[in-house]
Amino acid sequence: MIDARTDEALLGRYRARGDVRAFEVLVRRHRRALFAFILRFIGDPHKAEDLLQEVFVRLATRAADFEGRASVRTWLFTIARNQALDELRKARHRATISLDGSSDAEGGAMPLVERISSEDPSPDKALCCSRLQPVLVAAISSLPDEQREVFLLREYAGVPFKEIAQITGVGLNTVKSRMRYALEALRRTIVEAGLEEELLEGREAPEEREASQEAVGT
Amino acid sequence: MKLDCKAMDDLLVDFLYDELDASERARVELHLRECAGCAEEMARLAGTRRLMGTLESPAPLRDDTYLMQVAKRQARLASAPKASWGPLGRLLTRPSYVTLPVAGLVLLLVVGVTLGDEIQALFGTRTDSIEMVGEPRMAPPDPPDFSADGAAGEPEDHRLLSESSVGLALEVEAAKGDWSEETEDGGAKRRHEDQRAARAVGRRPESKTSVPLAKQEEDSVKSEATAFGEIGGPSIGRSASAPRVVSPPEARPPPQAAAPPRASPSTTAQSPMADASQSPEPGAPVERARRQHAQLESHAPSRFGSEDRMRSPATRGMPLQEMDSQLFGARSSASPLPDEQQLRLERARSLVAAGRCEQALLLLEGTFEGPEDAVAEKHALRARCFEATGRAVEARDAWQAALDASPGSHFGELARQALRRLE
Repeated sequence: MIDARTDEALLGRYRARGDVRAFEVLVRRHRRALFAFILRFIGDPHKAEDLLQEVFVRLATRAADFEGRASVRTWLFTIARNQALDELRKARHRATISLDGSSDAEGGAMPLVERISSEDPSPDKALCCSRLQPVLVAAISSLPDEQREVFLLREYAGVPFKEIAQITGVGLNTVKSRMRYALEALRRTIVEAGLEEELLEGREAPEEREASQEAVGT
Repeated sequence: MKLDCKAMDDLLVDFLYDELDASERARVELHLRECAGCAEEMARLAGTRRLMGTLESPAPLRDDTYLMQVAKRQARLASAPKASWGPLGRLLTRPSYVTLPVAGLVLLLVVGVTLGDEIQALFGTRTDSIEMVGEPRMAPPDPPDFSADGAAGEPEDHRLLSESSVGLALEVEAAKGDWSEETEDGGAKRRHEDQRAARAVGRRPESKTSVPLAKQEEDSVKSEATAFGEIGGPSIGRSASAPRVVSPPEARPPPQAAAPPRASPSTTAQSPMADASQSPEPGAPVERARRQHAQLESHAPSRFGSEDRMRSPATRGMPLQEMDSQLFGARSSASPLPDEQQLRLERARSLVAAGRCEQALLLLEGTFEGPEDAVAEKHALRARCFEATGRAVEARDAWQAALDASPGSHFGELARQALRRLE
């Protein structure tokens, strides 16, 4: 069954025989994780769709360049990450120009942060959970790029630290310390948003998540 | 062995994301039972993770129709030369650069016969032949037929051509363009010859290679137009779309001169064409092509011999600061690197030297495995590019990566200095 093949085998089939179905399986397999990563990285759903498409276009057009020194997944995320960074830079550049240089470097492309913090801060019990999602999104978008990418790759795309090191081109220890900083910064943002109770250990998650993604430290 | 809190600290996120093996995991659990401080920290991290895990990840909405069209088309392009070019196609589509010299000869022969005198202008260095490796993939000019995505269809199509088939070659040529633009008389001469070549080819619009190559020029690299101006094959048709008449023909030295470019203080570079223009005397095109190929062969051990010379200490010092001369001064011993990576590294060096950082970065994207110092050099080059384009955060990361890759090497030392400087 073609769906059971490894990424590398699928890419090999596509490359050697022009097997478009193999390519399709690759796309289906990775599009969601890639999209989650790109979307949370740049914050713009339309742009994220564009970039996602671009990642796979590159997979098609550069299949011959793949040399198997890293996994296909690593390769895909590397492309996605570089494109997302480029996009952020462009967005910030535009913001800088339009704001006469007054935009801040990290949050320039992430207006949501301000929007959230300017909302009524009193935590209404009944509203807390519907308010939770935007707070989480804002918390992520307020992370510095280098922490955000690590956090997104690990938490939502399920990429192990070692692969993240390859994707981001930094050492493994750097990746892990960024992850740590990211988690701590996220926590601070959540607390500042008045949602500290949500952080308490042992609370049931309101959304369905796979068991494997539940906290393991209990 | 029991864990202390410091060792524990390093393992917290591994534990949190279940990346420890069973024995490490057991040790961490043991420590957590015994140490309230670490247990509390772990609980905080786990709580944050759990909450963040509740964030919904929306699926992409766009369907894959367009993508599949691209994939099909690309598969068709990749297989087309085999059918139509026979053994030649197979040779040229071989996925490695091993066949470079042979491909170069074939290219020289084919184009030499058709273009006669223009061959000198078209083929300067052996790097030209790199194009041939990718070129056959786009040889059959396919009408752009994916309208599924509306407006996106057309530009995507062009980008596809440029990024895939010639990706590397374009970068390579970009570097060349820079070098020659920054030389004075050498560049002027080449520009003129290039125009002649372009005119000559322009008269043969049915030329098989000219269609896709010209097409790719219209694409997103417009802003780089001048940089690509010196491309041999791909410069076909450029004279119309991107006038680069910088100097009048009479300013051009006689073709035999091949004068070494004059070094100006700010832009000291030698034309990569210097090599090729050493044998400009007339003769049968085929004969000349052979001679050129022999030249290429003679450099075989170091495929980039001429450029290495070009970047000798005396001719370095592009619009960059001292850091760069340090960078280029101690080149990593890239000999055990796989061909493709060595190529990338070499290209990236000259791109960085030429100040074309965006292209160098593109070239260096992705993983890069090899000797530590080569990896360190890669990151050092990236770091330099990021610095040059004002991306401090990435620059710091890249320096850090260079340091991580090879702390003891020259590049590690450079990275240390740079990181100190950036503090």
